[in-house]
Amino acid sequence: MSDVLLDVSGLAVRYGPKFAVRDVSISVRRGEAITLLGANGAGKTTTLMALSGFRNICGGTVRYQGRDLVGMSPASIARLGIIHVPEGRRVLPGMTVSENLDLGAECARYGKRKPGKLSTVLDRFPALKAKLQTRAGLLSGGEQQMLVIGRALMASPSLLLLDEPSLGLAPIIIQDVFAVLQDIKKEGVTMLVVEQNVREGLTLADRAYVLEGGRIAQQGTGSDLMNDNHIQAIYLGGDFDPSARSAQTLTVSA
Amino acid sequence: MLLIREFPSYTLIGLLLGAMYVFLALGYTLVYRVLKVVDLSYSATFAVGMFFAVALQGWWDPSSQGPWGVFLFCLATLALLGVVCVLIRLLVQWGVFQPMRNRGASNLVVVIASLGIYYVLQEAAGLWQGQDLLSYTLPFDNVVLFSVGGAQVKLVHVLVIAAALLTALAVGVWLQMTRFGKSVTAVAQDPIAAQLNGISVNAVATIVFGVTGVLAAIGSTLYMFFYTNTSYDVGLVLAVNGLIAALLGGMGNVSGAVVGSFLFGLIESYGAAVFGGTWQDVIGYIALVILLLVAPSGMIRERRELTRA
Amino acid sequence: MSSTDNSRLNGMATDSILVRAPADRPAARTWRRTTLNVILALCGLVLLYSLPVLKIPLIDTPQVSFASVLFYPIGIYVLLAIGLDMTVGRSGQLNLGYAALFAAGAYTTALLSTTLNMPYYATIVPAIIVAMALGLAVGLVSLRVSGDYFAIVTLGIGLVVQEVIANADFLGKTIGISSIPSPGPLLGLTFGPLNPEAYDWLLFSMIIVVCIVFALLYRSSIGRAWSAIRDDEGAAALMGVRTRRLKVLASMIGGAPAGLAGSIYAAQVGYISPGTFGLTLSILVLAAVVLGGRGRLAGVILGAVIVGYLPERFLALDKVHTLLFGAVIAIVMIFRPEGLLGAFDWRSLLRRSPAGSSGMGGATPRAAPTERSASVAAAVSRTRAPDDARHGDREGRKPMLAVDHARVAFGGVVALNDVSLTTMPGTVTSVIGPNGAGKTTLINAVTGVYRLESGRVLLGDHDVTHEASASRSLEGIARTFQNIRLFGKMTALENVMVAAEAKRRSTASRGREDHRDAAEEAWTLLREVGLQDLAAVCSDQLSYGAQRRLEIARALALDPKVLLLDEPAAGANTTEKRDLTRLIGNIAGSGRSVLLIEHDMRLVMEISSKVVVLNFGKVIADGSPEEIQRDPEVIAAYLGETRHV
Repeated sequence: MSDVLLDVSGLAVRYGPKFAVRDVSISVRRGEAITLLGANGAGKTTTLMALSGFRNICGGTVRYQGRDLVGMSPASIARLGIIHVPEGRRVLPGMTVSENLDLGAECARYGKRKPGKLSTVLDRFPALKAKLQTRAGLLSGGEQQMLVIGRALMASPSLLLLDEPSLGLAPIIIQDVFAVLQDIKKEGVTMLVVEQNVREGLTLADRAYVLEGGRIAQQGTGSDLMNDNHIQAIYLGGDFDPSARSAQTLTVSA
Repeated sequence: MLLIREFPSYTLIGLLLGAMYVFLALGYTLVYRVLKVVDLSYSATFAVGMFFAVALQGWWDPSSQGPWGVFLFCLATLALLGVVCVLIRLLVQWGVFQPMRNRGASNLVVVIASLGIYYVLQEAAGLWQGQDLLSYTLPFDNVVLFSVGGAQVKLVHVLVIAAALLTALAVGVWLQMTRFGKSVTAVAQDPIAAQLNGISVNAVATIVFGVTGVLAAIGSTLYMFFYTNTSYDVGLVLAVNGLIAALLGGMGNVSGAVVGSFLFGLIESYGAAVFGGTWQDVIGYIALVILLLVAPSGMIRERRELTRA
Repeated sequence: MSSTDNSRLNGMATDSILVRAPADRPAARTWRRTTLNVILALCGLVLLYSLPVLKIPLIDTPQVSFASVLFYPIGIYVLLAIGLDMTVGRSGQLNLGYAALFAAGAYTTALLSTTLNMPYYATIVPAIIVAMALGLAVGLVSLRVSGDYFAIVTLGIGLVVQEVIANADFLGKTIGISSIPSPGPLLGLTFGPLNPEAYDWLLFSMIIVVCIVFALLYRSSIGRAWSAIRDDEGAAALMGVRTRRLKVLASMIGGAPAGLAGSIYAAQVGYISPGTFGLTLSILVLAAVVLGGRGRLAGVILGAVIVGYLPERFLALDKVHTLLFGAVIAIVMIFRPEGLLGAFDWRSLLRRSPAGSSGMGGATPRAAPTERSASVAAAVSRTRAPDDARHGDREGRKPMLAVDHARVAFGGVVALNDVSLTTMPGTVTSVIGPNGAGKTTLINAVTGVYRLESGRVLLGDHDVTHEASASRSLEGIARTFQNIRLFGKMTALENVMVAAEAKRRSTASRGREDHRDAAEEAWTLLREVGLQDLAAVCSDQLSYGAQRRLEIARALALDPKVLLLDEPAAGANTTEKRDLTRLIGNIAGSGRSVLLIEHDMRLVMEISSKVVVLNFGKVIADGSPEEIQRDPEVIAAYLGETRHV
């Protein structure tokens, strides 16, 4: 269980003359859940998009099971089994739930993998089961999040990239989503999660990296970072006043 | 009034015009659906195809070979035009649209480029066969099959309308039922989501371009059968009319393209009956301008699904 | 508000020349850059028109004399290209029917001088007016349709006009109008078929005049507004630019050179027929604009010269010249969409210069602002809120902004559900809530980007619910954007000037005078946010933090009563957040009302007098920061419960 699935070394991504991501090195072992934390604009989403082929990588290497991913198109990377669940979900709004899930199965077939079982996925997301023929555009935020995760599962991912699964969701729904992710993790799916929600992100993670200004500022195990003062300082800014009780509950901020 | 007296005839003409436009409107709408851009070079493909049909007739005269000879000739025409038109469309996709998309070119720039390609194709045809009218002999007898209230329905008429309807049906089935058709829909709705699911937008675009080549081949053949003459700049009129038809049905809406084509054909025909011949050409253009002023996104809107904020 | 250590503040090393130089240097350099472009164009034209005199055999055109070619097609194409550039190059709309305006000018002159026997010189102005009228019509059409559809419509218009001309009796149908008399003698020049050079001189002087007029236009505040529209029409509207009027204006003014060209063409050639004014001509002129460089005077002139001259010089090209130019258009669009001179960088001629504007609309403060106001305090006082924002004491004040039961829905989805809130002058009201709760939707509804299904938006006493974005901005509602929408190809200074000038245009039309120079005010605002040393830098080259501050300066240029800030601290580090907090505090302190959307709780709590919490499009809490922090519903819904590992 300790072989490295994804090895990112010295990743650099530019937008014009500015570096959005510089010298980022991450490793993900099979079965691990890795979280990327950081403020808005720190480079987390850019990193993920670079890994799934949507951004030009101008430096560093990305090796997946020994294979070099740099320069591959997003569709090819998806066919390899690296499934990216993007920020803002991106369901296909005009297609029904069932058709969306089907797309995931197609992705597996394109990549010559056996698709996930529809019944298993629907059992996991009963809300979707009830709305199989509903157009995806009409689902709530939480339901859409479940749908894209379900779609990803139908694609039999060997590596799941999740970009801010908690975005725009009520805290209760967020808990549900992360519960599902915990389940999936227990079943052995490897995942790399970008999150702004520090608490959920670190609870899920085996290990986590913190990005700041496009670079890795810190890394460690989930629990280590959870208790780290610096993390709290980054998110609460500058002088952290420990006597203000309210500040301690404010972990959903960046 | 002329229109009322000869209503069946004008209706027939309108349907025939509409049937021709189907091949154009479908082409424009398919490309727009996938790439969200109007490909102005499309109609020039027809001109090239027609010129090959004329050329084929120069090499092979089936009139002395009986019905099988004629049949083979028609097949060969379709095949030849198929190869030529698909090849042209693929070259346009690989040489122009794909590189530009990869460079992130804006829509304006892509449309201008497609305009340039239109002229390359049209002028090439003109260089090949000259700028005069080219005539074509129908390889078979255009017999009258039946009459409807004074309108004489001939063999070619049935051929054209039937072909248009069958083609439209085939395209519709292809898009709705097949695996590939669903990829096209996915790309049309959200290219990024499609890629996230392993669908290569470039591959989808290439195949769609290829299909428009087939449409151009069939359309060119039918055009030659019906009009029996053409000239190198036929693409211009075809473009304007095809675009009007596609816009009438809502650019990007496949069934709309078909409905819009027949609708526009009828408007043109009835308009010519009412206003007289010299203004016939202008009707199309005026209809286009009025249409776009009144309903800037086409008459039949594509259903728009909205995601929750 | 620290503006001392700029290089660190901006997160990007600034060019040392800028940091050392006095404040007026960058602006002067911008001015030089723009004029260089125009001077090059004019020199090129002078060179071109002296060629017949120089009699260089190499350039001789086989069939007709070079002097004649210089008139048509070269000279005519130059005029047409300059005019077409105004619609295609500057506003990004593709006009495929430009030949129709050329025809309008030609036929007007022809008709007036043959049927009404008017002397030629009297027909010039009517020709221009008719062409401009047609341009106006096309411009109005462009308001209804956009992008690809506009191209198709203009294609249709071009064809319609040609058909109408060919079918109209009084215009001579397909035969056209002949025996158009030559102009009378002028300044020692006699016109007639035997001296084509005279027409060259006439056309040449007209081209020079048009060049200068257009160059001045592009450098003026209108020109900057056009550039803003081209870069981001939506953002321009929200910065007070009356986009609709200006687009129509561009289309109308762009018709003038065509009318002028048509007029002189008709006189020179003596006989016109519909065939000349067809799609092919429109395409060739488009090729000229596209090839040479859209948006560049020198570029389109060069393109017109190439497109006009080459087929005449190389007669073998005659049959293939349309094909060739079609290929050229396609190739240029694929590999160099900006055209030959479009992206040409004058900076390479100046040593060690920073990234700058593309040579349009340079800004020149008449005197170095450092000589006048110096301290930041003075700068802040310059940005004092409008009078009616500062009246009264804290208690008796009326709300500056009031949102009253606003409801916004898209299809079946309700994005804002019965939202009401108010902001007071001189205070900061923060709106918080999870992503997707409707915060940006709220700003969009207040600024007019989204229409309210029901409810109202009030600015002071004034109900702005049904007003367009531009007028709301001009009345005093300004904003920044969550995903930064600056006018990328314009400098920092120009970005702010666009808003400042839009404001001035509106107050001028209402009769109030404002003598402060727009450029000067822009300078002041840039200084207030610490960007004065980057004034001449292209805004898309700035760092993230600098861009956010630039957006604030630009919004302030509208002298707003209400300033809406959408996540201004996103991506900022601690120091930047501190400076931002101070800046927002100053803005509110000057009497304006600030509505702030932010995720950084510390910043929010520190600076706000009131916090409104949104979730799922509804207001779930509204009160002081302390109250909000203690509100159990807010904590449960938004902040969540602490779970223990």
